[in-house]
Amino acid sequence: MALIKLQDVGLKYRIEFKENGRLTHEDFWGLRDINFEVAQGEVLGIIGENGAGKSTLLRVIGGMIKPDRGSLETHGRVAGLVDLGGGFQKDLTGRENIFLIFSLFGLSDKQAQDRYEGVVKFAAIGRFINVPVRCYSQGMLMRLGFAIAIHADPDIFLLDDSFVVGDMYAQNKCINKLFEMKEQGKTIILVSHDLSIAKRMCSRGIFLRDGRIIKDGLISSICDYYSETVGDKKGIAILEEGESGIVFNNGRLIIRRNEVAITARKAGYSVMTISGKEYVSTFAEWQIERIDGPNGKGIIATGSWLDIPVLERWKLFFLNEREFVWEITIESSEGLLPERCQTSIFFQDGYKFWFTVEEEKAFSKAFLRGEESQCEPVDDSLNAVVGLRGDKVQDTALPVVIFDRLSTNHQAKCQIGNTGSIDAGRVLGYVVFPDGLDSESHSFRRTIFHSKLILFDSSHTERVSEFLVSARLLMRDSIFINSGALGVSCRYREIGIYWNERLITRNAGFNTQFKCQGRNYSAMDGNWSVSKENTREIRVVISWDELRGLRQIWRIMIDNDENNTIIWETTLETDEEHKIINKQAELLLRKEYPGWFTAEEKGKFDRIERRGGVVVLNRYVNNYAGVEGSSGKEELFLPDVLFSCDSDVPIVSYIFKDNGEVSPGLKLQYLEIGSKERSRVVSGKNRYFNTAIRIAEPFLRSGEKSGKSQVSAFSDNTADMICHGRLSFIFDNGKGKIIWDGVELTKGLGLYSSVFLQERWHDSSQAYWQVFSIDADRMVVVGHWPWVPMKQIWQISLSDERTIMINITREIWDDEISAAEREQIGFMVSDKYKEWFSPRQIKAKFPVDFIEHNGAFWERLWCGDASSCIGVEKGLIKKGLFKSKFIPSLCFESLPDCQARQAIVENTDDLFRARVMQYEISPRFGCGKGASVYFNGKIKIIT
Amino acid sequence: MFKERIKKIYVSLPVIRSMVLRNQKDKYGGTGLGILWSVINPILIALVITFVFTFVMKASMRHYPLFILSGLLPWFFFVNSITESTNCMRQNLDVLGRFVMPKEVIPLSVTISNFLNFAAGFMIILPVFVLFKPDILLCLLLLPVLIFLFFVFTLGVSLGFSVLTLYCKDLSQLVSVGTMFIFWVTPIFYDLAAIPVKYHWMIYLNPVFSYAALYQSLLYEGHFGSIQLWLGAVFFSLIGLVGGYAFFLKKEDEIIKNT
Repeated sequence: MALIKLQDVGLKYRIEFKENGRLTHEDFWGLRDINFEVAQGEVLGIIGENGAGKSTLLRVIGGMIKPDRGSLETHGRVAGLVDLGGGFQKDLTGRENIFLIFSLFGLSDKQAQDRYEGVVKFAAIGRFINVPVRCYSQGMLMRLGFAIAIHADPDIFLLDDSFVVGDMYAQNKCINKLFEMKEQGKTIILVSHDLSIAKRMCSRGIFLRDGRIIKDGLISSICDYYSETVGDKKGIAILEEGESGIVFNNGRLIIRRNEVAITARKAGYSVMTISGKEYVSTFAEWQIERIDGPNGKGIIATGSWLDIPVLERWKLFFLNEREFVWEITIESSEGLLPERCQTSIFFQDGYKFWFTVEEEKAFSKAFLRGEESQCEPVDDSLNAVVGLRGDKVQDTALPVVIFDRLSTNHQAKCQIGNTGSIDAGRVLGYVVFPDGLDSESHSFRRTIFHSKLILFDSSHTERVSEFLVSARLLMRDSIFINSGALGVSCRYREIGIYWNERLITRNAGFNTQFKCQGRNYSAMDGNWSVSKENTREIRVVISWDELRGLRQIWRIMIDNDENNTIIWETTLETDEEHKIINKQAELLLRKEYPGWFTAEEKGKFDRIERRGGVVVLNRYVNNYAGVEGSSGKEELFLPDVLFSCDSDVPIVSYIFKDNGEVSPGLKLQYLEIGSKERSRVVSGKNRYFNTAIRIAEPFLRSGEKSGKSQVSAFSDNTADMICHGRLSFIFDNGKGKIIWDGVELTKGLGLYSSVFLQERWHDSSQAYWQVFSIDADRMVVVGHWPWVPMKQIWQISLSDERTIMINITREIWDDEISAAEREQIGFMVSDKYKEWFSPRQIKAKFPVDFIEHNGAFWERLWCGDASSCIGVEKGLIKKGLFKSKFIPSLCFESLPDCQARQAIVENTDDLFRARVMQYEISPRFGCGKGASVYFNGKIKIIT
Repeated sequence: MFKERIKKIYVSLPVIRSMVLRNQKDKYGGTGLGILWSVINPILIALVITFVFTFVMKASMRHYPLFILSGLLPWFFFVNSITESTNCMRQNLDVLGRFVMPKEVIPLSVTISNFLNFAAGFMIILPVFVLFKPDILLCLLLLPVLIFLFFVFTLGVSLGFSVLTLYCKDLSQLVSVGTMFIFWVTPIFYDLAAIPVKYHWMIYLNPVFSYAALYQSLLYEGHFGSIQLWLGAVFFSLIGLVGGYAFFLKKEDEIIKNT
């Protein structure tokens, strides 16, 4: 029999509007067409947003408000509303209130007297019972109200869930008592925002919105519906495929299978830690666009926060009914990369077992008391496949879930755990530590998390184990080539080199990067397809969504002749022409390596001070770099690794040490020095990098020199000299030196150029120089800069014994860059010069002291019109104890056609301890279209 | 239906008791003299009026303060009751929204608690009346009837006013002005004889007049009062209760929604 029956119940409010001084009345239906019945012993949850009419409905059921329409029938005694505040009269004592409320509940004096003791005991008020309740704490009021209500022993309970306040102990006491009432077969109607309590208490639910019943059914489906649809409607998208469904609701990912949500509470969400602050996906503002991906339909949701210029992009799409992909990409215009990204999914507590490819275990039964949303970790290994299995005896069988982290290009670990008792769920998740940014550009876009969720029906145990077996194979040796002690594995986007079963690489192992259309691309962020060609070769094809028709193909081969060498050949294949600059190839190695070497130099890593971030140890035009292994104790043994690059174009080698806490290690990198011709990638195959990685135990301990003969180290032909009488000019890697009669007049950088381009200064000494032609008194050299698309041609001629003619042209060969922001030509001379002079025959002495080197600007002494020469004089050098000799004065002059803007005389800081004469050149726009004059001038020697 | 209603109210007696207790605590909780104020207050006012009218306006009437008190005590009961009942629903919304009960319990308890104050004051002052005029003893036999009629009348008005405020938000202000007006046009501190006969019909229209006049004649004059006055008292009691309660019942569903 229905204990409560509502038929077509409607409730009307009359609302007064006062607008523009006019008073109007409008009728407003607070409840409309409410129809439902509650049977004896049923526990009904009324769920809805604020203002949906929940409390009003409760009051209508209770009879406090009479509906304007429809009918209400109740059988049995209805208790008053139990909620916070409880209808206490604050001036009455606890005792008097107990009697008042008992009488309001309809109890006679005798009944009230009998139950009084029970109430006082349950509420644990003690002596305070004779104190006016205005002196009570919230918790005491809650306990007292609750105690009175349950002792009033009504047939129908009306509960407003805000009654759950106070300390944990009291809360639990109340909740336990409620469960007791439920057991006794009381009819309870509960209004709730707290889904977890509603879910545990109620069997049936009603979902109210705007005074109407939207849904009436099992509490679990009502709660799911609520959590799926409540919130900002624009941030919600539902994807369905067969029996599976996922709901994206403002940074939350809810997963359904067969109409049952298998996720619980918070469901799937991400937490990003940027500069020490946490950004939870559910607090972001989301915008959704639908996509038709190659593998099915999906959505891309972009979340942004107000206080940080970072976009979090979720890509969600179904591969098939059982599998869908969850990918998180971070985009920032200011180079803000999260230090940490956590992705967690809360699942139902019906899941009793967790597993990885290695093991399967049961969750502990008890949840940590209270601890809201805390995860009690049970496993945080490096596994990339984790899963959950439901209780096998349960009626509604939960599907087996597998959370598979596909992308492993960043360091990550998995998280399996229990939540606290409030959420009462299981957690599967990953913590990803994205690699630091190597690119010089500030804006980037990077996929930091890429995963697949797979749902198997619980009956398909053999399919699950099949999957796990294949995952295990994939992890260990599905793509694995080896020969002798050397082995290479490819697992997702990680390539690992093994030597005697020991992994010597870290993270991705191999990576390539380049810049195209103003954006940096990394192989790590591409889509990979890996195949094993034969027992000695792995082939990787990488493509990028944004770069259509462009593929990078890696061939990773173990050399046929030498079992200690890996050949890594990379090519670019494209259907259309692209322009690509800053081509890089990288080898990432373990952090334990003690030393490094190049063809010319060697050094130790441990000399580097322990500071965070990435440190460049060596940077030189070179195609030969390696790390020195350690042969110490057995467990520390590491073989030497030589990373060489076979290239007919100039390349720069970099040796990095990453001291970051997330993925410390070493990196060997090659960067091709670009030119206009080399930046073009035409349709068809293009060579990218051909490298070889040689690994050996006794490696080159003796044969270091033999390596040197194979490489054309740049330092061999460093200096080129031209002479005219007593005057000589030496060009040394972008530094011009002047020698007069056996005495060097220059110092430090000598004659050099300096360009500010793409937010950085680029000195001529950083470029890669080649001699184009050289005669007795004339030379032409060509320089290319790494990282920036710039080329300079210097023509130096000694027209007579006292004049050096300088003509420099430059070319910025990337059409997208119109001009450098600042251009300078500098002439750094000896500090023996004591005075300087300027166009209008101003003369002054140089200061004696140099300012301390602190990276600040040099000490500017004069700057002005560039139309005539600036010079230095009174250079005096000591020859013996009493003899000294003047060195010739120098005059540095810019010729009119170079449009120098101003002349500058400076003292350097105490790092160089030199005098500088400098011309600032007006940058010319449109110079990217071809070569143009950079500087035209001369240096005169005055004796 | 009406019977059921009465039964419900009867069942709610403990509630009324608690509410009355609450009202008393609200009013006198924390004061030193407590309920005594319900006597002191009218006595002080009576003395002030006596002073003004005897020495300033040279009125001459024997035991003038007693004359005033005989009308003033019931008057205070009436005024306090209707003033408090205009706000009682709003003040008790918390209880009304939480518990199921006959809503008239609220104005009823307001009236009762004021009646208690009145009764207490009356008990204290009654011996004084007897002392000054022993021949009123016989008249006291009729006093309970008068008190009952006046209580019924006050209750009726209170019930009516407790819901009337829902429609007329200014009622509480109107009540304070209106009671003042009625106070002056009711012969409480002056004799009816002081008013020209041609305006007496106006006085008779005043529902409080018959009660005040009866109180004065029973307590001060030692006279049973005229039959017209008694008929008037009965008439206004019936009209007040039936009208007020009917209006209350008609509008009680609006109370929670519109308060």
